[in-house]
Amino acid sequence: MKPRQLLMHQVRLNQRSFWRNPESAFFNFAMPLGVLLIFGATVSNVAVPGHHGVRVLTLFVPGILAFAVVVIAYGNLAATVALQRADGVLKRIRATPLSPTLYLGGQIVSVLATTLLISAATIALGGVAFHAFPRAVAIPQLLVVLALGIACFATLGIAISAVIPTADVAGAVTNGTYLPLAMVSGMFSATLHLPKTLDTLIGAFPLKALADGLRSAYDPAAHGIPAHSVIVLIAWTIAGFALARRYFRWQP
Amino acid sequence: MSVPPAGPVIEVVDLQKSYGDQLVLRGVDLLVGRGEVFALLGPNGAGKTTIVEILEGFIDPSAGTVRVLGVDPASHAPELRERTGVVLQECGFPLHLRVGELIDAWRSFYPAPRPMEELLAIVELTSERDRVVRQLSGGQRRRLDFALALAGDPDLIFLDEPTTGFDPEARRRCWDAVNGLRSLGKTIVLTTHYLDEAEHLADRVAILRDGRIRACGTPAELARQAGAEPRMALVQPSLEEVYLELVGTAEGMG
Repeated sequence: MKPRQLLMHQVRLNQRSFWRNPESAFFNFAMPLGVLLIFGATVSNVAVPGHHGVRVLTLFVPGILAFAVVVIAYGNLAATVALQRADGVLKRIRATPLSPTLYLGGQIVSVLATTLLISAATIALGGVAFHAFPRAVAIPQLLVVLALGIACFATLGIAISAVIPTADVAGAVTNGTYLPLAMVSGMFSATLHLPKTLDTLIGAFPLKALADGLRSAYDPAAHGIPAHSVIVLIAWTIAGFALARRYFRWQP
Repeated sequence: MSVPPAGPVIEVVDLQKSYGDQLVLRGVDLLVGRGEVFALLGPNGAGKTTIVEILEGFIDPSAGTVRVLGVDPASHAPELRERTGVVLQECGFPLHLRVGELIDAWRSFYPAPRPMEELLAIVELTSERDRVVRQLSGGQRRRLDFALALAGDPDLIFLDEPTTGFDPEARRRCWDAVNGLRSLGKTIVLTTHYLDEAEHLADRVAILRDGRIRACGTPAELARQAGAEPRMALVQPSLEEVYLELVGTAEGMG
C-alpha cells in the first residue's frame, strides 16, 4: 500500500475508534458545544467597548471555537497517544513496518478532521443560537487560523503525551495544562481585561493567540489575522514538533 | 553451541546487555536455522525477553554481534519488520475496532500480507470477524494477537509466551497453528514458561539462567546430556527434569 493510502487507512481507523468510543465522542465533541450554549446564555449581549458596536456574543463564539480546537487537537490527542502507550498498543505498532511518521501523521490528520467537524458545529451553533457569524470575507483567514491552531495544538498534544506516565492521569495532565490558561486567555470571555504585564505574558502562549486569531474573523473592526497570533502559533508549533520528536516514546 | 539443521536465520555471538550496573545478558551465543522452531526456556529474569527484544531491534545490545535474516536489527529494524511477525507479552489493542478491521489494518502494513480469511481460520476467529475487540474474551484476544503477528506472512516469527492465558483447548489450537507454520517453512523463536510446550513444539531448546545459556540442543539431546549423569533409573529424564537440574528451581514454570 502506498504511503498516502496507508495514511488514509490510518485516519479511517482512528476516526472509527474515536466515534465508537461513546465517552470520547460525547465529552470531546459535546463539551465545547455545551460550554457555548451554557456560557453563551449567561453572556450579556451589549456592544463591546471600542469595537464599533460589535456585540459581546459575536466575539464570545470564536473564543469557544478556540476552546474546541484545544480540547480535540491537544487534550484528546494527548490522552489517546498516552492511553495507547500505556496499553501497549504503541509497542505493538512499533513491531510492524508502519513508520512513526505515518502513525503520527494518521493521528494528526484524524484530529484535523474531527476538529474541523467540531469547528463547523460550533460555528453553526453560534450562528443559530446567538446570531454570531464570521464575516464572509474573513472565511479564508478563519480557515488559516484554524489550520495553524490545529497544527500547533496537535504537535503540543503529542509532546505532552510523553510526560503522561499512566492512562489514569491523562485527563488530569491535559486538563491541568490548558484549562487554567484557557481561563485567562479570554476563551470564555470576550471582555476580559488583565493587567498589562500578565496580558503580555499570557499573549506569549498559543491559547490567546488562537482565540485572538479566530476573533479577527468575527470582528468587523479587524484587518486580517493579527501578526502576533501567527508568530506565536508558528513558534509553538516548532517547539511542539521539536519536543515531540525528542521525547516521544513507544513504551511506558 | 548446538548447530541448527539449516543455514542460520539468527546468529548471535557473545551478546551482552546491561542496564547501568546490572548485567542482564552475560555472553549469549545462538544459531537458529531456517525453518526451525527454537525455544528459549528459563525462569523469570533469565533474559529471555531481553534477547527477543534485541533480535526484534527494540533494544540495542551493549556488546556482541547480532544478525537476523542477514542484517543487524539495531540498524535495519524497518526492513526487518517487513519480514518478521511478533507476539509480544501484555500488549493492548485498539478496543473499539472490529476484529476484521484490525487484521486488515495490520495486513496493510506489509508488502505481501497473508489473506484475511486464512488468518482468521488459523486462529479460529472467523465467526468473530465483525465483533468489536473489546467484546472478545482473553483467550480470543490472544488468538487475535497471533493473527496480527502472522499478518505480513513473515519469514521469522517471534512468539513471546504465546499461549499465556489460553485454556487447554486454545493452547492445543495454537500449537497446531505453530506446527502449521513450521510446515510452511517459517522460522519460529518462542519463549515460554511451559516445558511441555517447548518439548512439543521446539526442534531445539536453549535453557537460560542468569543471562547465560546453560544448555542448548534438541529435547532428546538435552535429555541424553542429563541422562549421562549417574542416575538410579535407566530411563531418560524428561525436559522438565533437565530444566530443573540446570535451573535448580521450579520458579517460572507453568
